[in-house]
Amino acid sequence: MFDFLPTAIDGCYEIRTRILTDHRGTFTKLFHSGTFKDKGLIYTFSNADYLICPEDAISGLHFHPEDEKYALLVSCINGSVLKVVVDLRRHSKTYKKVFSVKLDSSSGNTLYIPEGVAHGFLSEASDSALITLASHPTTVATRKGIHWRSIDFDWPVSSPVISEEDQKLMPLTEYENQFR
Amino acid sequence: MHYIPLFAGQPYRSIRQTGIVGCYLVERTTRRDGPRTLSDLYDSSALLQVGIDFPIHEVLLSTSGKRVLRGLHFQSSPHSTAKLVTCLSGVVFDAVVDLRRKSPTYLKVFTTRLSGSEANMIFIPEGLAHGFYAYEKSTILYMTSGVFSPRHDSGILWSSAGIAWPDANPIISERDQNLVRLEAFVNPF
Repeated sequence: MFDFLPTAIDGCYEIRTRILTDHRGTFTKLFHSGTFKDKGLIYTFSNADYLICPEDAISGLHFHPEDEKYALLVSCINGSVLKVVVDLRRHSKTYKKVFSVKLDSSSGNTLYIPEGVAHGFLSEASDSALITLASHPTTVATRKGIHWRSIDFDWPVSSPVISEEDQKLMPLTEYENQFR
Repeated sequence: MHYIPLFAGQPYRSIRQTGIVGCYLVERTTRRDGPRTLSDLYDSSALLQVGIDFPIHEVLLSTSGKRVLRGLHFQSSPHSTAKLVTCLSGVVFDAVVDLRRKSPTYLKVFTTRLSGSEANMIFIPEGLAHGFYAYEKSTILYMTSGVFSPRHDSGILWSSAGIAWPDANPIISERDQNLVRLEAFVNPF
């Protein structure tokens, strides 16, 4: 039902699912708790969100602190996004590594992101729509982030649309300095 | 159907009872956050506040062309599941039938319109059959408290339950067209 593909970041998986098509339309399974449990992944989700983004919008990079177990599952159900993640877990063997993957409605792929891994995306279509499942609610206290341009990634966009809040996030170097 | 909301605020604009016991209509809040438009689909603690204890075990997405009808479906025990169903784009006519023999609303039908622009959802408890008809190409998301079990997957014929469907000749799968009529089926609830 699901293929779990390891990514360049430890504990982060690209998950491929099958899209069934007939004369009525399509049918896709985005999540199945038992399969995630068997894989040793977090399988209880308390929140689901729907978000729509215009073309050339960047969102992120947000992360959940690594001292609490957490998982985020992201699917793109309309349009297309370039999802970008960076490992901020200082003791991880893939610390500071960046991984990117295109998520779109026709390929039926989702990304599983653990705690301590910052994530964001660039919308590459006019009405990209994402569904996210989170294991914990996001509150102002737990919402953290780093600036999208401060990581080792060549964003394929020159002047993206971005929220004021995301534009003010700290650069990666400042995040690293916290631990000096 | 103008019940006073049981809940109003974040993350849902309202949660209201329907004419069927345990079945609720939920209106989602949609807000802007920079370039993003955000809407909460599922918030376990907000649902629990009105007594809906609903863990998610499966999430399914379907797209349906204009005039497609899917239903009426349910899973029998021990794999009966509650569902939270929302329309993310398009417009559908949504219908449920109460199949719980001990329910005060046994065999009662409830229908409503779900659409992407109204950002509304229906919470369907265990023991109800559910189906919908797409007025236009529509995307439906199902969040369920149980997982799909082919042996317990069941249904009744869409046209046999007294639902005033907007189309007498919808596009339907062979399997759905061959489901047993309500008056002939053996009730597992």
